Parts: sequence; structure tokens; C-alpha cells
Amino acid sequence: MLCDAGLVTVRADGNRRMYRTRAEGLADMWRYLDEMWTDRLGRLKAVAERAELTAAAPADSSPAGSAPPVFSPPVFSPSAVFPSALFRPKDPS
Amino acid sequence: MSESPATLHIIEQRVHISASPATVWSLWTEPSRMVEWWGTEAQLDPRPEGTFRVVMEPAGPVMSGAYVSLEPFTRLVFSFGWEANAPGEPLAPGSTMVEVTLTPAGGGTDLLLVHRQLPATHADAHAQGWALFVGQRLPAALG
Repeated sequence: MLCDAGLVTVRADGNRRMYRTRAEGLADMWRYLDEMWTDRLGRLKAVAERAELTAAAPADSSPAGSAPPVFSPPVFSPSAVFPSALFRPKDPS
Repeated sequence: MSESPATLHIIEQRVHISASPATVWSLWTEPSRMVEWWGTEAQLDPRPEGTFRVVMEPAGPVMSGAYVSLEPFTRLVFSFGWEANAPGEPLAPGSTMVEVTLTPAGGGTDLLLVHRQLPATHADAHAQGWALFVGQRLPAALG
């Protein structure tokens, strides 16, 4: 169906069917990169602001025994967004 | 590249950071700082044509690039691609460019990131041999 519609082409590659997408693949690539940059720039902002606060704070400003706040960025998983098409596993097998 | 700029897609993002441009700059040029926000491993040689390589996560993609231009605390340009992608494929190393501009603002920094030269048309995708979907992953990827 998708092949008939011209959205996907299929070719044989051993026992696997390899699909090529056109518009969908591009839209996914843009979405992946857009989300990647949003996620990473959010982390960069947090790290930079924390670094500057740490540098500016007097050494004795924290009560003894208190831990600094821990930044826990949301986990960004490339595989969840785009399972196989954007990048190849490092292991060629 | 043979494509005209009109066929290429651009991603643009802005963020205000309550830290100095110098601090923000260090996060793009020092490996020990970069792994705090981008990847699990970074190899950076911050000079023109120097290595810019980031392992995004242990089993994830590896960003393979090179610094193109560095204007300290102001502007940084580097190439961006996936290490595993072959020449001619979308996002092959060297095929796209990222420009980061830092502008002092309100006691902090306005960061503008522009990711350029992303393929943008069906024809480009077809001609370049777009990424492969395997078997049953196709419906999930499209869904």
C-alpha cells in the first residue's frame, strides 16, 4: 500500500526488507534534531547557571552537611523518538 | 554540496541563560563541561578543523564533526553528522552545519543555535538514499 502510494520503496537485503521513506523520514529527522536541541540546550542552560552560582557563592554559604541541589534532566532517548533510521548502531553486525 | 540553499531545511532555537558568555562558551569547548549536558563522552579540539566528537549515550549515535570557526565567547560554527552514516547519506559527517551565537543580554547570555543544510525535499531524500527502516519498525516509526 505504502509502496503503491509512492511513499516508501522496498528492496531486498538478504532476509530483511529494507524500507526507504521520503517525506516521513525527513519530517522525523527534523523532529528528532529539534527535540534533541531543545533537550540539550535545556541541560546546557541548567549546567551553565549552576556553574555560575557555584562560582559566585562564598565557600561557607552552604550549611554544613547540606547537599547542593541536583539537576535531573529529563531523559532524552534517541531510540524512543526514532528507532532505527537516523543513526546506525555502532556495531556493524 | 550540489543542492541549492532553497532546498535545505533549517532548525533555529533560542534560549536565555543566566550565566556569562564565557561560561556558556566553555560548555561548547571543554570536554569535561560538555559531558555535563550533551553526551557521555566528548573529544574536542577547539580550533578551526579541530575534532568535535560527542558520544550521545552509551548505545546511541556518535556525533562526528569538526570546528569550523571560533570567535571566543561570541560565535561558534561546527559541522554535524552521525559517525556511522556514509558519505552522501543525510547527516553524514560534514554534511550539516551548526552555528551558535552568544550575545550578552540582561546580565546573562542569549544563545541562538541554527542547524543548517538539512535536506528538505522528497527528491533530495530519494536521491541521497534516505535512512532505512527495517521490517516491522516501519509502522511504529510512521505512527
